[in-house]
Amino acid sequence: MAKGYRYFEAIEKHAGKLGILTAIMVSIGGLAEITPLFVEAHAITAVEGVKPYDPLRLAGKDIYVREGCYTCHTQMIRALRAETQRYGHYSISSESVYDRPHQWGSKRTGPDLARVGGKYSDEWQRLHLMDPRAVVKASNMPGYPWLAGEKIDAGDIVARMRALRRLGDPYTDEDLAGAPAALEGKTSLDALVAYLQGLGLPPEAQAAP
Amino acid sequence: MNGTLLQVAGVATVLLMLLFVAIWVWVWHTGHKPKYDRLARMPMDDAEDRQ
Amino acid sequence: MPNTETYNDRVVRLFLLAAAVWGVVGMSVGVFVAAQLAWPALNFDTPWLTFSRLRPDHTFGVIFAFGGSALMGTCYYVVQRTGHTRLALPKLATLTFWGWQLVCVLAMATMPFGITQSKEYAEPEWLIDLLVAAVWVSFGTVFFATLARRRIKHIYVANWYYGAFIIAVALLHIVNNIVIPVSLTKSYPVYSGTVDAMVQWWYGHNAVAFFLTAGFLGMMYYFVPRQAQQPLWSYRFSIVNFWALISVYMWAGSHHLLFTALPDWVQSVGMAFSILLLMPSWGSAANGLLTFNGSWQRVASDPAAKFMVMALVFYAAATTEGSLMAVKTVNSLSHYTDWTVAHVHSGAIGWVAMITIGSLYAMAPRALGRPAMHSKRSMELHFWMHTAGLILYVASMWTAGVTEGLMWRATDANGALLYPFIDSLIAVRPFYLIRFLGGLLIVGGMIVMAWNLWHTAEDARARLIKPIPVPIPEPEPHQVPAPVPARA
Repeated sequence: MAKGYRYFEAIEKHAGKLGILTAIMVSIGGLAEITPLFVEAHAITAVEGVKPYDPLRLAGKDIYVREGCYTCHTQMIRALRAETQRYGHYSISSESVYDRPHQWGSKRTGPDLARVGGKYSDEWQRLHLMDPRAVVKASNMPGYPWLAGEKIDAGDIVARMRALRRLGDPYTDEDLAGAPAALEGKTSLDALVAYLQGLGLPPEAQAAP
Repeated sequence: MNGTLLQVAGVATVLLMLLFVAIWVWVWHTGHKPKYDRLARMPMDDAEDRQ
Repeated sequence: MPNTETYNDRVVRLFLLAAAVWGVVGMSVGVFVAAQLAWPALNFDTPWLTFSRLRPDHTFGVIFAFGGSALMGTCYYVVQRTGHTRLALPKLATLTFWGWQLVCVLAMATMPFGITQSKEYAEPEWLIDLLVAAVWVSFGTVFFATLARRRIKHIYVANWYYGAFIIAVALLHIVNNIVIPVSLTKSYPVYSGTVDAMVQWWYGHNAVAFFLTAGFLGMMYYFVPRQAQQPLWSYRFSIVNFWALISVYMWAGSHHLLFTALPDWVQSVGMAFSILLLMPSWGSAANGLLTFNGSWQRVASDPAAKFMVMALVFYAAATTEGSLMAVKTVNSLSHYTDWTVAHVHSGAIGWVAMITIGSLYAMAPRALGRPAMHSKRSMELHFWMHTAGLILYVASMWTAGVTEGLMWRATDANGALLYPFIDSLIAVRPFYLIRFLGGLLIVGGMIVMAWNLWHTAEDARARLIKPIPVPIPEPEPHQVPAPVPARA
């Protein structure tokens, strides 16, 4: 029995062995859970009809990411009755395949936004983003008035689309070529509203205009 | 595919459980109590305490 | 035998100072964002003062700047003391200090300006991530090089935890931050959607496991026996708990994504392992608490020990709550609500901050060449301010969370939802006020600690400290590797 201990002693007296064994133990769980997901992710990308974000909505999504909206809003309707009743059909994997990073979130200080598209008018969304309490009196959401004065840099968005294409998002050369025209004269506010209004719409309604 | 993965996860769970129990048995049955007692005193053995 | 090898406490003192400063900064930002949730006018319609941009500064400031500095400082202190050796690679060690401070400053200066990955708890952009990786590898190099030159053949269990913390955090940080840069300030993760969510919460969960748990357990396993002036209650138990903790924690990450679009089997595995986690969690908490057994009268008279005992109680409570919240029925109510916030803060303010504060109070006089902290009464004051603030915070957020959970699912006799979303926000607003007050007390306590440390450091500031010589142990027979001879 003391023999068994000797093996263990070999670990706790040697920094290198202790380190390597620790690394192995730590890796097993993560690898076992993530590797199969990579395999499945391949299958998810192939779902037909879901198109990558058009240039304006991509710009809007990146504004959403930049402003940190995930700190208060989720985009993940769980498969629970109370949630589907309030927010609509539960979220499915194929809906967020073009979200880098995902915006599922972890906290609802405000409501879920996964299917907020079309729920309010464009005008309401604009007003609400500029001054939330002008529309919802009891809201504690900050205003984002600076978005209205920010012009979108088309060159930057094209570079982003190119980077996304390198990661496998199916943007065509025409998509890239058409982006500057689609973004002509648009502000960050226009882009964010376009993004929000596209959230949760069926794929055919999301196609680039 | 999910069925196979579930089995892999299940087997891995059981193996890890066994490993955990093995470490437990190992640690308790080796009769190295004096050594453990000495090791448990290590934080007490400091330069400042000797002076 | 003349012995001139001394402990390198200079770098420890630097980290101690940094921890005190970042503690005040990170928690002050927390109080400010808490105030913004109660009074939205405090966003001032200014981009960099807006809640959604400042909140990552609070989490990064507390976890990585305050916690990280405290962990690196105590790690350097403990590895020298338990190995009876001077820190290896002193220049690199000093570099890790400045490197880490640069990381913290850069991260906290860029995130409010919208330079963010918006991956929760991994917000800094890719250039800063590269710097983090470089500093972290250097930190690991110094730690393991010091272990390699130790004079005590057994590696004390605190170092196991510090080692696991270093290895796992490196792995997590690198895997979660693989991106394609678009410009200096913008990048896209190579993962998207469900895979990104899984990688992100594997990271998020294990940052809790290895940064906020394993690292601080390393602190606990050294400073608790010292402060109790009794040996560790059970060394055997610490071995079992270590291997259980590091092998089980990694599996449980998916409990952050129950009922989501994540495959069912991943959710189930996450839930099962979260329950298993109770074993090592309770085991470590019990080991720490029982180390105080028989010296409870010391605890009554020693504020540092009080912080440690309270930290262990909250460690046990928060891990129990965590496993409970990973059960699907509880999770369906608690998730997305302020209950999660309550849980995170009972872990962060209760366990992490209190074990850190206790350890800093235990370590500071030694590292600063003084017999004791400058003011014991202010330590006592700090303890009560912190504890009162913690209870206000956790109780108010827990109540708010349960209120939200219940209101979101409440239906009338016909099965229609009873409350519009805004009603739940109106209902919890008073609790946001109480949480803000709790936060104020906690920051106040941190300022008291900073003041106390400043005065304790008088000798250090006047450069009057004599370095502490390393005690060279008697060589044991058949010692492998052979002890390193003292330097002349």
